[in-house]
Amino acid sequence: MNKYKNHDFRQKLEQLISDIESESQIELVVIIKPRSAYYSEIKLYYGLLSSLSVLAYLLLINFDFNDIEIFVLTVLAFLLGSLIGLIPNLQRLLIKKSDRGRNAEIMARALFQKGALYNTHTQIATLIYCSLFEQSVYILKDRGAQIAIPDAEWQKIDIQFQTIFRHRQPQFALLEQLKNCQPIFKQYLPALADNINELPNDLDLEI
Amino acid sequence: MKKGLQIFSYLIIAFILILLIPYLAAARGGGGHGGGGHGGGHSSGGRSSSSHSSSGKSRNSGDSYHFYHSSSSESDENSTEFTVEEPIIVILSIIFVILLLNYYDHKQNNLMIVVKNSTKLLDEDSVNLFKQKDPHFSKIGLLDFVYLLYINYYTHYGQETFAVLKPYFTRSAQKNWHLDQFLQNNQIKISPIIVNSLSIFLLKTNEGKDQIGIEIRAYYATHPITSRYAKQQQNTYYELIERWILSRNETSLSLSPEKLQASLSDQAIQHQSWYVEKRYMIKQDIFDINDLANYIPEKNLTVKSLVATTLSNSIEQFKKRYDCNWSSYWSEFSQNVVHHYFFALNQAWEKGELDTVRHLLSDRLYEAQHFLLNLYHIQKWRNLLTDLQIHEIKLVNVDCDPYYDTITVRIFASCFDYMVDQHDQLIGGSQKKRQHYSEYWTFVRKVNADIHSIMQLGLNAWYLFLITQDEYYTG
Repeated sequence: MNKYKNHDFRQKLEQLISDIESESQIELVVIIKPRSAYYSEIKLYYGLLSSLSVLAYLLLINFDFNDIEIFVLTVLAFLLGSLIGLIPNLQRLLIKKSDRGRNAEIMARALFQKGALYNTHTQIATLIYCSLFEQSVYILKDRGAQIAIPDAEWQKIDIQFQTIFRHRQPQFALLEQLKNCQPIFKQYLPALADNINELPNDLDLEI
Repeated sequence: MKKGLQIFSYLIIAFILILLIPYLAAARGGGGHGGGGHGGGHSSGGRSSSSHSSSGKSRNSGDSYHFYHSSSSESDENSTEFTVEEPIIVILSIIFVILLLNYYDHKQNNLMIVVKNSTKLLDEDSVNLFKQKDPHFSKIGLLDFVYLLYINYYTHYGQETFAVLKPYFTRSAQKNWHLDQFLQNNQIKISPIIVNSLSIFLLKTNEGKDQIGIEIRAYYATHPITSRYAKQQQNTYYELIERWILSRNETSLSLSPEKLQASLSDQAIQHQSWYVEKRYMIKQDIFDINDLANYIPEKNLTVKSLVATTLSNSIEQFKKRYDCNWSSYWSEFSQNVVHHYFFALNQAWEKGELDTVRHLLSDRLYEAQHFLLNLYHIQKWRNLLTDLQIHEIKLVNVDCDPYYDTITVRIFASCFDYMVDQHDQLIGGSQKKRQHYSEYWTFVRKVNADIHSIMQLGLNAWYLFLITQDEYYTG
């Protein structure tokens, strides 16, 4: 998350969005969140797996352990397993990609609704939601933007944004993909003479 | 805080490992779990039998369990004993670490980076540029006119009397989809309508038209028209942000504020005035009265004051207009106007008696403050500002247009700011922690043709036009 909190990155992103909106009617909002769901059960899975393994080991090994040792070591194994389950990469192993994508979509839709991004005159608000733990980008466009830009273009944009987490520095890949969108937005939703920003400066997004 | 938590977690893990080392070492010393050295039986169902195991438990006189590990060939002196407290400490420590990491994880998860294009409000310099084209342009006069138009729009919307306002709105700007179904079916009444702030965000000449964009922050309350009793509790309060684009012919020149306001009813001069070309509803949320007790820490105290780049020129203009010594005028102004108004208003606010300072405030500001005080009254809350102190008054702008003089200052102040209910129970803020804050206060006085009469009125002619929180002030 620190990479995204970096002042330089934020400034570049703000400038890029401002450039895009100066050439297009689109109202773009980029939201970056560490995760879209908690997945508490994953820690329990790891704990359970680890305690069962240790219990099996203690019972089957050719060595005597007394009752309290077995109890203590099993509990310890559970706790250590849960601790290991806090490591994001290991958590991700046990969550299906489709589930991660679904959680990112749910959060994106909730933020779109909470921030009242639907409140634009011609319904051209577009939310680009990046969920870091899920390694997923969900692009949510309002009706106006959906209609103005052909679906094939949206699909292309969608596929390109999904690749940003394959890069070593996904924050720069995000900027790159946004830059790639600029001509598309300009082509299909060109700026009007009195193009004004239709979203409030302070979006209320607390969920 | 974040780093501190991380370091603390590492220390706890290190502590756990240190506790575990002798235990694991002893277990290894007990002959290895591979079973090669002992060749003995294994525990069955978790129960060990001393007849075939060298490890076991005993109860000591202190009533605490001891583990010991030793090979059968080793003497008792070589055996290592552990009390049952050690693993319990380890378990509790790990639980603690897990809870700590979970807490940290949840806290991190609440972070969110939101990046979007922001509407930058216009600074005073751009307004001054526009004045070169239209010397009669008055920012205060225009904002007053928009304020009246806004109130009239919501007061008359959906009624026959709205016809008078139609020349001021294009067909699309007249429509209010949010209100149509309720007002036309006579379901709700809107009252009161309170404009909290007005600020200019756009000023340009385009395709033969002058255009001004004004951001309006307002509140209004709706209540069912069928209700027999106009109880305040039946109101639903809304908080709105609207952006209005006003246009006029490029060749038009500004009317005097009096004429501009009169144009609302005088059709003969309507065509010379501004009209609303577009109306954008940026935000319309239900305003929860309970939010008034939520105190947000001040963040902008250290942010540099936004001093107008034209300040020295404006002071010269002021000096020339009134032929006065600026430094003595400023010291008198800051003492007798800023200090006096600041304490008088805050005292009236604290007591809930705004009428005592009615003459010091503009109509709009009085209504906005009165509206908020009324909400406190409904909730039976009181906002107390104990030991109020002004630390600094910084001059940020002076503006002299043909109709108004304006002086804007940034006030740095502090107090114990808190909210109590009817039983004097604290419900927000703090009685112990001094709250430092800063606000931009804009004072205005009307300029009559007779300069001498203004000078005779002296400092009494000034009234408080606007209070802007430092995070919203743009110049």
